[in-house]
Amino acid sequence: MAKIPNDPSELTALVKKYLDGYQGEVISPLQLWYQGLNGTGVPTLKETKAMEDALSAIDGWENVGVLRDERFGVQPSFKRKGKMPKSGKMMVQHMFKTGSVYKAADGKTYKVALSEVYNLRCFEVVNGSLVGGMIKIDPTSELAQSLVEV
Amino acid sequence: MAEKITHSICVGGPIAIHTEDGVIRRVRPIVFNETDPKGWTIKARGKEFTPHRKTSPAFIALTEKNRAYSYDRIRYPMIREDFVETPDGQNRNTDNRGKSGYRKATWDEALSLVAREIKRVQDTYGKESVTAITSSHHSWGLLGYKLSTFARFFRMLGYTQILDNPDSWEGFTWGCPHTYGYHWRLGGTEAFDLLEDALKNVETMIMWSHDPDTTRGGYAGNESTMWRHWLDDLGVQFIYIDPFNNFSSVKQADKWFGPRPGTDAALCEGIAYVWLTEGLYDKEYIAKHAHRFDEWADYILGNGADRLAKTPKWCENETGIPAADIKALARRWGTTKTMGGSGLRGGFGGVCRTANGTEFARLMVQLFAMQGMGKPGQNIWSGTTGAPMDYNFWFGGYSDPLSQIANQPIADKTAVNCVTQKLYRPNLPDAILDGHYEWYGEGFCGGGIDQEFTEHVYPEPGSNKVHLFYRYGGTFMGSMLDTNKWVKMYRSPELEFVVNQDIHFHGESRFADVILPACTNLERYDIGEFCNSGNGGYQSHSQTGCSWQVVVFQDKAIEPLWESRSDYWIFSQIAERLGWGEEFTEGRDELAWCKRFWEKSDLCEKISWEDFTKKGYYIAGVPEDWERHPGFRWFVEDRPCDTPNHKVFQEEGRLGTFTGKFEFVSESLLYWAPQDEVRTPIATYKYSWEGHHSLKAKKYPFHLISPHPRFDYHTQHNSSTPWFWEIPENRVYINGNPYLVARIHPKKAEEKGIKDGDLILLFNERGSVLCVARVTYRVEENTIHAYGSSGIYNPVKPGECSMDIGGCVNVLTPGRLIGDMVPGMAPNSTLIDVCKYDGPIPQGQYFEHKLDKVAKEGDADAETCVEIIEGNGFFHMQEKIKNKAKEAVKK
Repeated sequence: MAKIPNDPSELTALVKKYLDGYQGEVISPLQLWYQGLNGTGVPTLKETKAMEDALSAIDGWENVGVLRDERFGVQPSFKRKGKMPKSGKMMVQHMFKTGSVYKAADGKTYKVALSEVYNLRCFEVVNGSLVGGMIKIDPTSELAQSLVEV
Repeated sequence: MAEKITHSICVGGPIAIHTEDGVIRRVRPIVFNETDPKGWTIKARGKEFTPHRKTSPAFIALTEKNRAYSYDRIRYPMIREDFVETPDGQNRNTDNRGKSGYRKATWDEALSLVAREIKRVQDTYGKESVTAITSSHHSWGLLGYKLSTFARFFRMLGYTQILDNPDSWEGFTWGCPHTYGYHWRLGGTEAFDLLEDALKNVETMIMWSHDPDTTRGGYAGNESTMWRHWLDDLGVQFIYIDPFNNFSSVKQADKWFGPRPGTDAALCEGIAYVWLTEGLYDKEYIAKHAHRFDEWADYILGNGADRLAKTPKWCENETGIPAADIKALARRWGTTKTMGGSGLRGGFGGVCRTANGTEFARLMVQLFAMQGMGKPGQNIWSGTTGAPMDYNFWFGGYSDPLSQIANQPIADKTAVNCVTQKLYRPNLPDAILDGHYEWYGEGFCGGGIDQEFTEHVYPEPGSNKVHLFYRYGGTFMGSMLDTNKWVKMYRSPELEFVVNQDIHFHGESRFADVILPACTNLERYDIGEFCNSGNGGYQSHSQTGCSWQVVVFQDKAIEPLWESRSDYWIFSQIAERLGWGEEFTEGRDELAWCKRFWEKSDLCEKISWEDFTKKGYYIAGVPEDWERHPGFRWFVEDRPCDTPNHKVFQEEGRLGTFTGKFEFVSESLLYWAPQDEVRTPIATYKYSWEGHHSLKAKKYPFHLISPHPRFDYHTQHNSSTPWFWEIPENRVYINGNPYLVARIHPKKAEEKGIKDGDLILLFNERGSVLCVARVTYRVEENTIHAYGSSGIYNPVKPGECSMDIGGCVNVLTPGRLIGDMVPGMAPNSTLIDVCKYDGPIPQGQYFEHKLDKVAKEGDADAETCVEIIEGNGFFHMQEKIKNKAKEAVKK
């Protein structure tokens, strides 16, 4: 069991400390329980509510309702406002999700076919269809940096 | 006529085919020429290792010529003799399926009937009333394989999809994600670049329920065989653990341990006990990377709820392995750099397909974690994958959604199935026969831990049951369990219409109302990469199981024989009759589709279409200083994961478990399935529901183990390749029938009065199979070993649940799942008894006359099955084709 402090502000401080070093874009109370608070077993409803309240109280994060995570399933979730600054350690697969669609500054949209280690491959999307051949995008290029997930 | 050389990307690896006068003369491995890149070189321990300059296909690939001209080819479209096309789908003599013979039909007659029935059934009951499924690997190639042409047709049609189960490594898929993540790799680990690591560092290899020389072939041929010889040359010690001293073991083992089947998890616990009591594990690593280790250690040491210490002596009582040997094994493993594995790519360990399969697989991961998994020379690595690879070259594998003709960008329009109802393959007969079935999970999908717990019910609320079954390629009579359940299903009037589309007249096709003859890989165009299963939830980068990355253009070696046609042609024709032929083909023929794969991948930048199709293959070279991403090294070094195919949540150096660590008490199981008694939060050895502690063991004292076969691949090769039957370790001819070999320990054979070469009956309450005894010390005393999925399903009373003489040992295996919440199958939890057979010896095979009759209808001069098996028919057939070709040239 994790020790959830009785004092909400103490819990919020703990959660904030964890989120300051957290690299992800989305988090749920359940994930926070295991990874941020070293919880064991299943948190009670009271503990889950306390964590939700703490997450709601932290600037830079917003409640986005329920989202599915491959491990935890559908969970109430909080999303980082704005983008996490990309550190030098980040690799292509952390920046672009295979199967997702991104928009470039020139208005063109691309579907990511492969995002792996140093490889970023896309197809251009026109009127909902993938057209042309496979496009390689240098992940350090301006084009790659300008892509925004649609 | 000049000799023509073409290439094929068939099951078992790429081959070159020599054809003369329209007849295939021989098949062989592809030998590279001077224009192909040089291979990688690994420098280790003062030596240099580089692969041979050729592909090393499995011997099953070298049967392709025989499979093309095989006696059991389906030569013509066929319709069941007593099938009646009643307007309401009733009174169709379904009880005779499996018994009745066939008549030759024209393509137009057969295809029109299939189209009419699809339309009738869907108009009457709804789209969901049609279901369809393929086998695995009866064919290969991005166009012809199951996830492409088949998927395109049925998604466009709308149908009840049947979910596959991960039948080759159930325990890893359903167990390991709860210990170390990797649900997206179906529980399998990441073996990237571990060949080099092994050559440089490993001292001991633990091959647990692992027979790579036998089972690697279907995907990667014999490409990795040489790697394991290199390790031998370097003095690496190989320890094999398997109730059967398997074929890799007899060749290579420094030591073989034969535990009683189903007790491997107990052996894991015994090893852990030695390590815990003697301090032989990596305490620092565990302190940093393990979750709730101490609670698990308490359980092992006898301080858990059961108050039972898992001592070597306790372990000896369960496994039959002497306590001293268990200690020696544990000490060797705990004091040397050790790699190993089971049930993963290449090993397909039978232990993962037992009632205790999930627990064994989780304990296996835990043992490697205790030794510092990811440190040099310490890893789960089974000697079959992890070769250097150019990660910058991309060509899709068959499960890649972007490499299927069902989807964009290969197709102009993606085909989407409008039906949400699903069925689950292992229990398809239960669903049809009972009219209701419930199960957990999305099957073989790798989509998430949460998806293991999706609840399914058939029929889905608001949906109708299925009434039309379209079976495509291969046979579950031999590869799925409790065969007689499938027999009963086929005879049910619930299935108003059954179609079978296949190359050979294998067990299941004999239950269809209409049979559509498909052609082999050698008779059609295709394209594909050696051993590349893709990144669609099938463990990506499987091509690192090969020494070379080989993309093959499959030209037609010969035209389709008799009236067989390519699968693409068959589906196009049905689509045409259903009124959407143009949408299905998008105006492309097979060659045009092949070209799409070339132009939508990196291949088009490397070689022109003309050069590629002329040469027949392309080798993607590996740069001299290739990128290295050794599996789990990032985890040890506490940095973001840098291996290909990982998840965003590993960016903080975490595993894919709830806590991001190795979970010795699984938080995901506590959350998702706290009441599950089969797969408990602490992985523990549990008595099998069909094992030596069962009451049933008094009546049926032997464990039948039926691992993946040495002389076959999913039943597709043994049946159609009579020269396999001449291999004494495979089959023995008696009275014109090739009986499968079943192995029995000499002590037990003596007790039963069985001598080597005797006919013996394997039996339990589910059925009986007649085999030939091989009396050998290579099996553990309580074990009968007979290869599974190699049966030539051949019941003495066709269409009934009768004795089988073809070696279909899955007649005996249980149809139940590992657990209510663990939807895997467990063929190696089977109890049987065995006796010397004194009954009448049946004459030959029972299905050939059905084929002969149809063959003669098509050509009075046709060769019979027996004539082809014996050889003269084979030559006669080829002579006729040759003469025809010569006449055509003259004209």
